Amino acid sequence: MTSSIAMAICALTGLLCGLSPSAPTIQAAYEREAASGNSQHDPGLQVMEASCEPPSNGQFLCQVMFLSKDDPSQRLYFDVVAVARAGGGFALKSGLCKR
Amino acid sequence: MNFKRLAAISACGAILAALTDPAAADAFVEPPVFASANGVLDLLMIAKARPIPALSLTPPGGGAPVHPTGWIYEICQRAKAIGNQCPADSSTVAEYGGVRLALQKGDVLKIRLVNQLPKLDPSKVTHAADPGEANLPLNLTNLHTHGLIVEARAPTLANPTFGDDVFVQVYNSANGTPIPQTTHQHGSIVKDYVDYQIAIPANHPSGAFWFHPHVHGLSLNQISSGMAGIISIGQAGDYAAGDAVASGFPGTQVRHLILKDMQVLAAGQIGFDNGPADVAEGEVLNQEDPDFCAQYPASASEQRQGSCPGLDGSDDGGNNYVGGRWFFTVSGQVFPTLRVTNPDGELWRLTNASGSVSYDLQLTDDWTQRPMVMQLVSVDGVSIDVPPATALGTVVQLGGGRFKLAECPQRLPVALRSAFICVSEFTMMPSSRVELWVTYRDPKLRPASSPTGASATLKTIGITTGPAGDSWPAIDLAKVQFAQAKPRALTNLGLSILGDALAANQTGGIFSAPVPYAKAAPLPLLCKPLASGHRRRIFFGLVDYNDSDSFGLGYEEVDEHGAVIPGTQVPVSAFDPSRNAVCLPLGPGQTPVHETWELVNLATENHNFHIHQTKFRLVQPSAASGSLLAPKLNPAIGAGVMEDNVPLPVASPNIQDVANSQNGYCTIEQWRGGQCSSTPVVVDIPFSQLGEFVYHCHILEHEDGGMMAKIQVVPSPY
Repeated sequence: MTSSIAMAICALTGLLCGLSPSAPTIQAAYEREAASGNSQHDPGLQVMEASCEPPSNGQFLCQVMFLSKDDPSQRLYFDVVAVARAGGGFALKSGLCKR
Repeated sequence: MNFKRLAAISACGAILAALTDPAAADAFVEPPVFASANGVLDLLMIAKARPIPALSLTPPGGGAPVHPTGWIYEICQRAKAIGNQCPADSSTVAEYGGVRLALQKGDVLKIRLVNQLPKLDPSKVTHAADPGEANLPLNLTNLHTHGLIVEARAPTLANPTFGDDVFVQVYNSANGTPIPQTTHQHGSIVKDYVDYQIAIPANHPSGAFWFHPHVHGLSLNQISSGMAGIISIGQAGDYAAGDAVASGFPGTQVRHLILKDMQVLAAGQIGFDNGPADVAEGEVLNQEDPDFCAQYPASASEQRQGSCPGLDGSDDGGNNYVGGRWFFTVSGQVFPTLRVTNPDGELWRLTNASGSVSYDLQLTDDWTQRPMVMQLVSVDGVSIDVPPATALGTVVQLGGGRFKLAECPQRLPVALRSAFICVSEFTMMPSSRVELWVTYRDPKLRPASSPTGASATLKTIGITTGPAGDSWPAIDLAKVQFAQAKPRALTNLGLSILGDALAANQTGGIFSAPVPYAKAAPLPLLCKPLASGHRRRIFFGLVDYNDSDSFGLGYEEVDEHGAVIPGTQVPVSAFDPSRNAVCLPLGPGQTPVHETWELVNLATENHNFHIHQTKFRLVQPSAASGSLLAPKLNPAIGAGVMEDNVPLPVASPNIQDVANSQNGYCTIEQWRGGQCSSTPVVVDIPFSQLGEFVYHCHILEHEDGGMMAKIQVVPSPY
């Protein structure tokens, strides 16, 4: 689905489609997962940039650039994460791995 | 042999496939060159599909020839690029044969790599079902500068480009977005393009190197489809001069021979690892089945000039490749002609850029049918430096079975630093490079003017890599015509070599001097120096002895008495990029560190050990301290020969289980218990570059199958 078609569907349905995930919202989703003890994602990460595709099957796939908060070298990592709408925000489904 | 054998049905079902004349003897053309200027080479490289005009099949019953579609690099200078596109003019190169990136010591190589490769049919992607590898059909790629002694640098906020980092994966958005995997077994994932910035150390050896993709699970697919080129550092004259006149060997007399191969299919149906699938006329089989052709011609009349005809192996449980053809090219040309006209001969830089093919090369005199003698100048990009008094047996051991020594002409009474090393045969497993001085010689093997009509054939004579290994075919690769009539000016009996195998290990050399960019830092958890006298032992085996495709590496540390250090043992395991198999720091003052590794082949097939970011030398644990083979390197005499890949001899089991029920592979326990003998190949490895990188078998079927492990080198805390 192209971005323009997705936007048109959003306008017709009145959904909050314009709110695609961003680095802060993905970071918030990640921190919620970390707080719940989910070990699916590496700990201590800071999302610096995110670029998301239009949603498909209720999920966004986003390319993210992130680093480890405790890494003095500020090494960058890149991954593709899956996020889905949950409540008023987003839930992190997969991704955010350094390895 | 691990290519899945499935009976095949040829849609053509015919031996009628007409083939193009493979004997066209075009003049050899040097690969296109992109040279650095003012310390920088800044390129745009676009990985994409493209028909290869030099290769063609004529369909059965006639019709227009079909050119296979390979995957190549379209390359241009970044300064001329428009965004991520190269201009459509003569400054853009898109050769199947590969280009040469000509760099100098101290240069920076900048590459923007763009992925425009096509999406793959999952049914034809061997490893798509492996854990964490479901994205492989999206045809991700990356780049590795093979043999360069450079930092495996990861990106940072301060410098977001990548060094020689094989863990980055570049996806083509047009093929879809990669689906996040449930395992941590991947590296950095980026879309569409990635920027590399690779600094060549000022003390890097001069010589011949190469570049290729290094995506675990797709390396064989991509290299077999054509994705490779070569790199030169410095000039041949940096280390090679005439023995008559001490001036450097001219670059104009250096040839770059890039050996590639491509298996081109006739239309029909063949068996892949995931089951049978239809293939189109001219489709490329990128898993390199060694049984595509018969190993040797069926009769004396069968011409194998640059190719061999597909074979029907269905009676033996294999595929029917009749109508297809396996091409072996030299810098993209099928059976070119090289004319050696300079009286002082030529320096040939050969690179085995095939995915899994091993070559056993000879230059055969067309009149005598005997192999001609050539002088060995460098191995894997490092010029040799063998003291003249070195025993021939030592030279043979230094070579690790890669070359067959030949008698050299008597040495001149001059003080040459390195002995002449002459060879008549050179085995090149995948990734291997060699430099040979080629000139016509008289019956006493002395360089001489060539008689009218003198010619030779560069050929691979066919090689089998052990009882459980592969049989690679005999092919004539190129015609060589000698027209060396004028008097020689530079050489008398050979080249005088001032080899980097010595210089790299002396004061200021790359394996001796402090690493300039390394800064003291605390050691990461579980990272520590190897204890004095200890060795690392690497096993090359199978994870599951019932599965011939389950390649892996095992590990243990042993002390100075050969006792295994408790807690260090790791069974043979498939590659896991999320786990360091080895981590070590540089020495105090950020100096290079030498480690001794034992390489134990558990297989009755050869493997080809390769490690990134460094070179190594072969040693004998019992050799005297003054020997080139001594475990501890003597900087005064150097390494003699340095390599970045070495064939591992096959194991010899004395129980039937290995052949009968273990796919030709011994277990570690059988090796330890003496039921299987395999003498370790012992190497001295100097580590001088930081970062996370890998060591692996460079037979790419094995590497993609899991025979690889991760290593990290970190700064010293002091």
